[in-house]
Amino acid sequence: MADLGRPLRRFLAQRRARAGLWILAILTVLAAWAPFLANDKPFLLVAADRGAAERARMELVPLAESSAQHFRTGDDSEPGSRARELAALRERAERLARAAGPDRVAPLARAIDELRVADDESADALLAAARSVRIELEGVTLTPPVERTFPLFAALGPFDVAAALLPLSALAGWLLRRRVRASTAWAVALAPPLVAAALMALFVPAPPLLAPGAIKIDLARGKLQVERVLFAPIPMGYAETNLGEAWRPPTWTAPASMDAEGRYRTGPRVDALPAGRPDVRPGERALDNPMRHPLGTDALGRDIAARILWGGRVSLAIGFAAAALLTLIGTLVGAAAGFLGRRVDAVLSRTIEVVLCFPAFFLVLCAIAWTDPDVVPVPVAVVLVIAAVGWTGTARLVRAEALRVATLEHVLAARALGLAPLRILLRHVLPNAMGPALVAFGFAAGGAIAVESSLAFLGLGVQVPVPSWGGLVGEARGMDHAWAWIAPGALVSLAVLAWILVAEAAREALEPRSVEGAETVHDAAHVAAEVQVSA
Amino acid sequence: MNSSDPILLAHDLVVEHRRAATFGRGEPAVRALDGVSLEVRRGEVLAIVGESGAGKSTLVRALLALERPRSGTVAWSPAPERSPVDVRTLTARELRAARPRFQVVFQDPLASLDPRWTARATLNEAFGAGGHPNGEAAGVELLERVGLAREHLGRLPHEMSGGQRQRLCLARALATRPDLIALDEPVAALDASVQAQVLELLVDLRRERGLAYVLVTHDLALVAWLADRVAVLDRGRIVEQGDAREVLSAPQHATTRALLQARRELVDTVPGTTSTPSPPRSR
Amino acid sequence: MNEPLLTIRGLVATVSTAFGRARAVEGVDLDLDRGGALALVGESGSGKTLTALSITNLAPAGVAYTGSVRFEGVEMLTLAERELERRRGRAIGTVFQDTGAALDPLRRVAEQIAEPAVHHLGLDPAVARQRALLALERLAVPDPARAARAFPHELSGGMRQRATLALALSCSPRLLVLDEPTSALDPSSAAAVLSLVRDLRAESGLALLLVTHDLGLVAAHADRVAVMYAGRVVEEGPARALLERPAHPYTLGLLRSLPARVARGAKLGAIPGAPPPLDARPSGCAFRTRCPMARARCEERPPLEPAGDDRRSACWFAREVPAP
Repeated sequence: MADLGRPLRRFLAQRRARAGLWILAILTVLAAWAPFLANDKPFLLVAADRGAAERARMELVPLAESSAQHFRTGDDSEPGSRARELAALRERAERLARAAGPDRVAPLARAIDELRVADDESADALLAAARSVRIELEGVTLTPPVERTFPLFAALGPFDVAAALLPLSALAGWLLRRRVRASTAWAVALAPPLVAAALMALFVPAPPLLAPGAIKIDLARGKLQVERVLFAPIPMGYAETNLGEAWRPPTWTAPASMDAEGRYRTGPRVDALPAGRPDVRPGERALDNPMRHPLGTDALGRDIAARILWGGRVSLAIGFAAAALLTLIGTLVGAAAGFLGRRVDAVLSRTIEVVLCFPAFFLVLCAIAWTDPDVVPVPVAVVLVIAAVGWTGTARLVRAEALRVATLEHVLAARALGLAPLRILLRHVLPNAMGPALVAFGFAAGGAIAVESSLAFLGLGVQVPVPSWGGLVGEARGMDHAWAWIAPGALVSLAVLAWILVAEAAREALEPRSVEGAETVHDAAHVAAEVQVSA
Repeated sequence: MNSSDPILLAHDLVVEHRRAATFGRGEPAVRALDGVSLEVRRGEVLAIVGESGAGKSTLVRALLALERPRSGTVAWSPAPERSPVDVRTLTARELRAARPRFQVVFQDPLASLDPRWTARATLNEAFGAGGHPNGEAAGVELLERVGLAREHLGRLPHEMSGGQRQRLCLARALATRPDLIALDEPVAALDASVQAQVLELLVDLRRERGLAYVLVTHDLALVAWLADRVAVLDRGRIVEQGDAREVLSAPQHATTRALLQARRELVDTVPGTTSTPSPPRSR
Repeated sequence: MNEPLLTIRGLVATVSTAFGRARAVEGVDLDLDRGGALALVGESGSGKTLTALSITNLAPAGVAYTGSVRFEGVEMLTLAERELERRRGRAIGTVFQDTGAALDPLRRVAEQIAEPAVHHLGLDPAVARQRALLALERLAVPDPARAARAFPHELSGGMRQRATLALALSCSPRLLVLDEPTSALDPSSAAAVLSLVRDLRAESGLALLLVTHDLGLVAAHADRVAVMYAGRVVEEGPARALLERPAHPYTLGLLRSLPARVARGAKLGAIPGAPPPLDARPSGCAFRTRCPMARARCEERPPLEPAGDDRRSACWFAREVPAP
């Protein structure tokens, strides 16, 4: 029912709105597709993976032990983890079956099938079978078949899938907007990522966790007989260290020059030589290739471009989520305070004032310091804390607007009809008081990004090795390695700027002030005739 | 239907406006209404006149129980043939159930309509509140009765002219089959040529449906033309009340006289007009 | 003294937005004598406000004027900004509809009323404030000393309108433009303001341009009337004569639709339809879609021509218009 058309058109007509939206779109797409842009795992690997087979052999007994534990009596762990571990064990067994012959692994396969819940006997049988298969395989040469695998895709989690689908579904929804009803277009834009993520979380088992660069190591050691391999454009992971290449400036400015001992030189300062010889791993560009590390490396030799791409996910997502949550809370509280009567207003307004008395950033710091990362994941904690501290500004704006709207005659008319107050609040007051809330959302998103960056800079944000733009800046203080913090710092500023542009454009769209903003010629004459000028 | 039964009564209404304070009592209150008593009978038009600031709009809100008085009573007749009942004795639910019988049309039609709702949505909400059958057919019928067309159902307020919006507000008020409609300067914001159309519509509707009107206005010519009785409000009190013709031709109170005098000064007889009502002229 | 104070010829106001252009005012010719009072009557879309704004070129960006507006012999539309400012507030005073907008909410009333006198006439500020206080007294503002010291938001609508009037009159201008002076006020305040203006005019020979939709005001306060519809003048002449015997069906319709003309409960002669929006004016005579006298000839636009003694009308059938 809401007429978004006119304000939306006024919004999009402004240059700054389009500029802000473009910047945000580009940053979001880069962040959403980071796994496909910078990853140590290849898209496609057609190879015989002896490394995986050997790892499977090593993991057989430990996995069997923990699985068996879940199936003993007296263990009431959730079926989810039980199923996952069993699936992992099964996968290892199948891999070994392919690599060493199914009959060698058959006893274990049987034991897996015969497992029953809360049955000590079948659990013990499982463990015994696993041990016997392990001994059987000792010394056997594993000859896995050539397989076509997609390691990069296999390593994606539900969040990654949802993020990757989002730009595509949003684009689809946008293109369809003229041909279908508004609600259908929104559904097309937002549903596929959520549905896909939900399906994945419920039905797809978690893939085995590989150490960063594990596949490349296998490649280097010949554990993989490769027929074809296709890496991402930046073939480095965000957590993949390479100590021999610490603090390397952007390679397009400083191609490598080796010293007598085969170490590359970073510049005139001799004491800046890195520890050992850097190795060039399979799939990576040559040491003196200008595009090897387009933005340089950090203290542990991790590629900064990769870390920036992956870090964007954290910064942008936290910014958006925190802003959304705080706008939701602030709007509900503000509308209730403005409309539901003097007593409710008194209580809520005093609450707002009390919360405002606390210095926001310190409150955030304390809250983060006290949260236990095992109970509440750090990104979620950051979002909750920023929202819990920042909702007050929006609440005051919405309250003022709700107070004004409550005196408007169409609200009085609704009351005269005999409608219940809550219904009037939700259907008449809230939609019309939302304007300032939307504007505040834009500013809040920018602010949240800045707060998250500050937290990460101080080391209180997401935990290593997950990068965040603020954290990247924090890791690289000092002018010696300016390249390491200039790019992430600039991106934080760019993202905040983009949100501010969008928010200001939204404000202008909701309260047009100029004749140029008028929709029709009739409106324009109306505005012209009503302009008040003092003599 | 006994036409002299009152359907709305006010007795000794006192409404105070006071600036809210953080704690405590704040500044001394201003009495917007200071002991107002009046009655509206079924099917009659009661005009309320006075200067701005006299309390006319506050009186309308108080009569419709949209504002709580400090003291005094407002009584509504909640069903035909029932005598008026103090609204404070009703529970919140009963009060909401009685509201559809007493509707209101405000001066500024643009502010009276939710800018995001189509005419259809506005009417459907009114139908729903009144408990009367709704749906496309009922909506079209109502629109056509107030002089709008079927196409207007899908329009938003800013896509309609001022006169059309006011007609829509009238349609909304009629959707609940009220006994009384309060009209707060219903045509003041409209173009001159459109005012007459809406006024004629009001007269026709009243005749058709036996509506009572509480008409708040500055325009004494309108009062002379439309009202049965008039009450003159000055600084929160009713200083004169009675049959419209009598009050306007022979005002007793200084305020009434001042209003009539002001109108005379202002308007100085457009040729052929009278500032006091005259018996029907033969043409 | 026979040169009119204000001469408007062929005034066209074009409004342009991102969505199109249209002519809000399409060729207006008007005269106003020194000390005279001209009323511009019309409804929404008639262009009367933009016409009034053209004199001091105060329309906002997006509105362009062409034609000629001569005030005391000087062409205003092409005047340099400095010269324009010299006349605004000094020779020409304007009072707009919105009672509060002309006044700066952050400064006291007396100071604002005094400012044009200080700026244009070079008066000493203290003297100017004294004059401001006297002006407020003259305008029958209750407790003028308190009002003078007050801020605009502390005054009621009627008092603010009077303060704005004092502001407009502060340099004893020769022309006063009043835009819808009564629509924001109740009758008593409006009556006071207008009778005051009438007195001032009698004393000082002030000319008045009154923009309104209220025919009753016109009868009481204007010498001459110009009725505007859809951007053009459709009728013009001496006030009393025009209202007694209109020469255009639109004026007739306006007169007939007043409740004051009609006996109690009798039918009003409402004009069907509504004034056309700016971008959808009918071709030919713009009023023909609502006119009870419309005929085939009306598809050709009638020019504004003499129609009797000192009268002009833009109707092919001006002589056939009955008495109201």
